[in-house]
Amino acid sequence: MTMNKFGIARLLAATAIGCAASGSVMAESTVNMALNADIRGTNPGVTRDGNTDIIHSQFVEGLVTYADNFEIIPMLAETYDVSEDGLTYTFNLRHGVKFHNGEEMTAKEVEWSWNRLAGEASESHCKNYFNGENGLKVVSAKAVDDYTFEITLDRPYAVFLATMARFDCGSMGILHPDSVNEDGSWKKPIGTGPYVLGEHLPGRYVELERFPDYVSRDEPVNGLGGGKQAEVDTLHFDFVGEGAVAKTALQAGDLDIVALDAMAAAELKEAPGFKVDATQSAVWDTYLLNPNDPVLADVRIRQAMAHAIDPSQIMAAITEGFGEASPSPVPPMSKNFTEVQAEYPAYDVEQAKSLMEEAGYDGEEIKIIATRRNGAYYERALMAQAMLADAGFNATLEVVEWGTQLEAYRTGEGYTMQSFSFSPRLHAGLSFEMFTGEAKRKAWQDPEAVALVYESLETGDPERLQEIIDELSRRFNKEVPAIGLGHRMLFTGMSDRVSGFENWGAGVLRGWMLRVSD
Amino acid sequence: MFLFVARRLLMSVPTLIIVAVMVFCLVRALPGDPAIMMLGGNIDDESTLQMMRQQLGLDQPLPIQFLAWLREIFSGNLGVSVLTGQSVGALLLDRFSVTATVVLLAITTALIVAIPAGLVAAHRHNSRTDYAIVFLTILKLSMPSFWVGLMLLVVFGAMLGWLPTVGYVSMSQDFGLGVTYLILPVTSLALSEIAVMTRMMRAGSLEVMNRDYITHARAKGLPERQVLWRHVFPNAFAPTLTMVGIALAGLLAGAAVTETVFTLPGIGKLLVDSIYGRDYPVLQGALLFIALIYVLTNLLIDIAYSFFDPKVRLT
Repeated sequence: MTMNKFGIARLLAATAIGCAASGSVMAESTVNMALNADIRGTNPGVTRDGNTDIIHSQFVEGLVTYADNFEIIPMLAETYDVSEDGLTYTFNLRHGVKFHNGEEMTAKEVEWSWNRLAGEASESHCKNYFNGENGLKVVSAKAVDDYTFEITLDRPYAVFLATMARFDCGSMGILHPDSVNEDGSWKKPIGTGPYVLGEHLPGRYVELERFPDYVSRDEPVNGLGGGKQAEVDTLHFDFVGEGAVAKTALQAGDLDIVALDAMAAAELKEAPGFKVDATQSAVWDTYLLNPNDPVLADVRIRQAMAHAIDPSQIMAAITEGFGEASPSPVPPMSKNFTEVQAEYPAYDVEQAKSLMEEAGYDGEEIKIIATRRNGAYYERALMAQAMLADAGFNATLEVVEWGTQLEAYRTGEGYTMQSFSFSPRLHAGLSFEMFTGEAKRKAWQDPEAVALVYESLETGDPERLQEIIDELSRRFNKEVPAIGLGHRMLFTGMSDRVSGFENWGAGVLRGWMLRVSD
Repeated sequence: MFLFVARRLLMSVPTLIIVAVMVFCLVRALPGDPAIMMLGGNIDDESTLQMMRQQLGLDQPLPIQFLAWLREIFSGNLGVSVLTGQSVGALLLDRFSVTATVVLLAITTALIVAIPAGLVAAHRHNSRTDYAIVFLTILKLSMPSFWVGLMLLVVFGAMLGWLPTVGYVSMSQDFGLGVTYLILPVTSLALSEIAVMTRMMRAGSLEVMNRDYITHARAKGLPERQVLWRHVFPNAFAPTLTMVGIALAGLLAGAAVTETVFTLPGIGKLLVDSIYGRDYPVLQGALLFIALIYVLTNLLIDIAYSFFDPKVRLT
């Protein structure tokens, strides 16, 4: 919202109603942004969704976090050590880190924060990642001295630090105990991040204020870590559900940064006064094939479908030429992405027809379901339907609401194929685990693949990990439990007055990088 | 009148109980699991899902859930939002105040424009003025609300830069600024209602104008303005008033499209968000609240009838 617009708006109102409009004190520098929905709350690791995680990551930090290439790097820990048996993690904390209330962070607050999220009384879903419910159990988590915190596991677990750094757990964020009331109920976040939670008016906006006493790391910005010295005084987020409205507000100067769809990005790219950032993310857009559907029981049918669908054409179409196909579940920015992951079944309609004939396909229905939510689920499904029909499949498309699709996904019922997306998994093993396993929702239930995935999550040997990921990739192309398309392009439109914005694969906004020119 | 109002309010109690049962059943019939939505779609972990269902009370049998909800309602508590943890009652009142402000201003504006426009069109039946008014109303009725709202934003927000395009400031916070945030949504809503009400007013007036008492009024030498306002308007307004009542109740129940386009934190947007988020307490509370709005609005309209139509007596 710019001053001149408000001046004119106020003048109009004053003329109309015959009274002078009052002025408001503007912060020294403000960046106005849009979120497509309200945040769920202010309690990191407890109340969450994608938007909420973005806001939380501005004011809360964990001991470790993700780097640009999804490696784990220390954040509030200066360093960390892992014992030879892989069971004990020792975090050496940074000195002089200040909470938003001015107090210095010590291991005492770290231990309190760990128990808040991972302890028995925790309301967070994250506790199940550490209490044995899903295999891994943290045997103890305690402050050794003022600046040393130690966690002991019941077994070696290669993705333990990656699990700690999960965005949905607020990176197991470190908060001051005054963040809760005496009865333990939530009050407000007192974190260590470069921004402090300002005002949150539900349904309207949320504001973050720069934390002037933030103690930054010395390194350059790296993923969600590194140096995080903020310059913009206020980050203001309006809740704008409609992309077209957000784009109009950007053009009007009422918003400075908005997420765009591909078409709007292509349009705005040439417009004077605006910039467009197009970044490939680690969000995997795919078609999940239902392992419980008898039509797909024959692997040749699944292979035929993979040959009938051209990821390159579809990605080019849905990204207006900005993006390209990357069908492997492993994102291209991952250190485990090699030429093996770059391979995928070629688009070959004749090959598809031949496989269909071999398998005795006789016009059985291939029911595709898709939602119309953001992310081109529907458009992807529509194009796949056309390509499958071109190869001779009896493909039908049913548009469902997102809650309905999630239910179908969870129960593994009501579809043959669905247009789906997975949020970023920042470990190559997890990139396969997200759709591999025994549960009904898992598209890949092959026991050998499941065993390989489990091994990938346990091994601490990088070479062995790469071998496993390569093996899984080859099997994925052969068994076709899903048909990968690519890793979603994130489009961000911004006004010229904003600089410093850089998106990254995880798609989490880094407000501390922003600068404004006026 | 007191007895009439009391009886109508009493009669609304069984209506609201039936609505409560229907709302509960319909909401539960929706596919989709609130626990999944609560976890932001993250359902990798079945034990977490179970834990969330327990926290939300969704692991209980449906009759138990219904009785628990009824008990809460009768104790004046509509529960808390599973998504945000806010009190549903407070949330509804907060959002309703936004919707009510916009809707009442829009309906008032629409009436101020539509009544004279309808009367003039009828008075100058089959003239160019009449054709122009009918053409404009048809044109507006043919335009989708979403598109009109967006065009208002593009023209007055992006192109002219006169009015804000996103956000909301209530007039109690800052009157002048609050007005600027209301102009476009009120205009958008009012345009739709003007079109409908003008046509109703025109049709009603045309019917009345052929009556003997209008001819009589003219014959005794009353000026045409007086004929229109004293004799045509009160008799032609009753059907339009019915339309006003329906529109008022419908819009107060949530002008979801307008609220979405203009990012207004109103009850319509709340309802849509709670459907997508499977926020059962908010959804149930909002639907019940909307039923109450319909009951009260219809009551007010029935009372208003007695002022316009002498044949109507409140007994």
